[in-house]
Amino acid sequence: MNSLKERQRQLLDYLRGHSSDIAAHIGQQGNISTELRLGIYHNAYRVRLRETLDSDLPVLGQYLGDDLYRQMVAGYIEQYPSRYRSLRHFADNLPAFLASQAPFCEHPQIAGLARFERLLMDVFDAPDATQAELSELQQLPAEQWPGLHLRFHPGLQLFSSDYNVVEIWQALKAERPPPPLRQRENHWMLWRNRQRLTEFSSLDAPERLLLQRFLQGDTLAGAADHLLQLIPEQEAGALLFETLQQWLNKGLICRLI
Amino acid sequence: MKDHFLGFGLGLRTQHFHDFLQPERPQVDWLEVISENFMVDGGKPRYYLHQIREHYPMVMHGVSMSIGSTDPLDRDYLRRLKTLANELQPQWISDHLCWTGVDGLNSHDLLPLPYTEEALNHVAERISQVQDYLGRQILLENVSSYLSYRESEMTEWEFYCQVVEKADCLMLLDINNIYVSARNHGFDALDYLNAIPVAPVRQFHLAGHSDYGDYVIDTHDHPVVDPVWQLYADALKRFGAVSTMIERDDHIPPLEELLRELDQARTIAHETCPALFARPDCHPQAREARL
Repeated sequence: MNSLKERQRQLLDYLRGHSSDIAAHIGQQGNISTELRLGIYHNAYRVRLRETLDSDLPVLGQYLGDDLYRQMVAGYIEQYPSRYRSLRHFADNLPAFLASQAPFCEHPQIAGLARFERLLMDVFDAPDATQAELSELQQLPAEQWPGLHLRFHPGLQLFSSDYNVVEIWQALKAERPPPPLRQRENHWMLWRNRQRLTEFSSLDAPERLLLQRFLQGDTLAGAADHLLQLIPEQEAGALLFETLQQWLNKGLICRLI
Repeated sequence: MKDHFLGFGLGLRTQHFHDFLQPERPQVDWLEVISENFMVDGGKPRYYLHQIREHYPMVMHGVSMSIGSTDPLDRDYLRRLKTLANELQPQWISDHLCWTGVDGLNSHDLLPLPYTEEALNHVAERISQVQDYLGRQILLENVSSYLSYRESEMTEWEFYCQVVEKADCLMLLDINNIYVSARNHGFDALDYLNAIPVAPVRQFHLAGHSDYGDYVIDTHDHPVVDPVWQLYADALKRFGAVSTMIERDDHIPPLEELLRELDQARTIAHETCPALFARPDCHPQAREARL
């Protein structure tokens, strides 16, 4: 192994708090001890990563409180050191960490909160795409409606949880006390609106079903068939049109194909 | 006036996006953007970046090339960097003479290299590869440092100069980093400055730091201090008209405050080298009169 690589491994080991021989290779100058010199880099490493988690998951930090949050930061930095060029992705593995590590995994809403905050970031900087207008649907000849496919905006994300994670997130974001934890299946969609702002809303069963069917590539006729399993035939047409109208107004749809 | 002199600039930060999009454009000659902040797929920051680009010349400044690492060059990173450069058409692209990680791990810090022949040859070879890929010369910045290695065979400035000569790249001279490292390592900042060749220097960085008495940390969260302004004046005398900008990365104040600090740079430039900085926008009083 060349000495440059060895030195780099030694210094990085030191920054990570692992056993390292780097101190023997640091020059002595003036009044500053080797311990202090190395300590500046060691502290900077931890502070930089902690600040990234602070800014990317602000609500999770509030929910955990100082002690648990410190424990999470230390454990995550050790277990998932950054392998990314940009700090933007440093917290990508945090939901998996929280879902698998005690004591966090004993409270599934914690990993849920982390997953929700990561999705907000994914929506924020998802690729740009043209957003289709309602008029495009209105101008579509009637005979083309049954075979219609939808292409959704790359910023669209779906979130599901068995707990009231989003309500907890909303309360903490508004600096209100979080509601008690409740176990109930709930579904949400997140998207970037026409002003490039991130929004989210809950999905009821028919809207979720339609979204899933269109995302899987169903035509409008195919999606409508599935809708009939949930609602009476006389209501399905109006609901379908109303849902498409809302999605177009929200900027969810890029193309009608 | 050198044809690559852009004037007096600032680092573009999200807090100031709206200021730069006002009908009355802030008096900044050019902007430096952190490349990695915009190497994302889409969204509002990129939208604003392109809006602002229509009104200001830009340069791209990276923090993750890790040119000194013993890991292979990250081709995906370079591809994204080149894509952003194709979009923005910056005047130049810069990064740091340092390494940030090894074995696939990233410290996200600008870590110093040992100043050895081994490191010199390694870095120069990689810079050449990057320049070939990007199809342009890049600027490398001197980093502030808090440690040096026993095996170093030369001074930091000798290493920097030899890397630049061997790789045929350009220099982004951070005046504050020279001051910070001089304090931390006990050398004379003027020895550093006077050893740097004039021709490759394309840009100056100015910034604030945190002074702890025995040592100084490059925090970019304070205004530029007087000794760094003095060193800037010394640099102007040696290098002439070099594009100058102020970096602020933490405790970011309202834009007005940074504009006043930038005016201080203009004033120093004008007072130090009146013949070189006679342009109206190099002198705050003249600019106010014009407004």
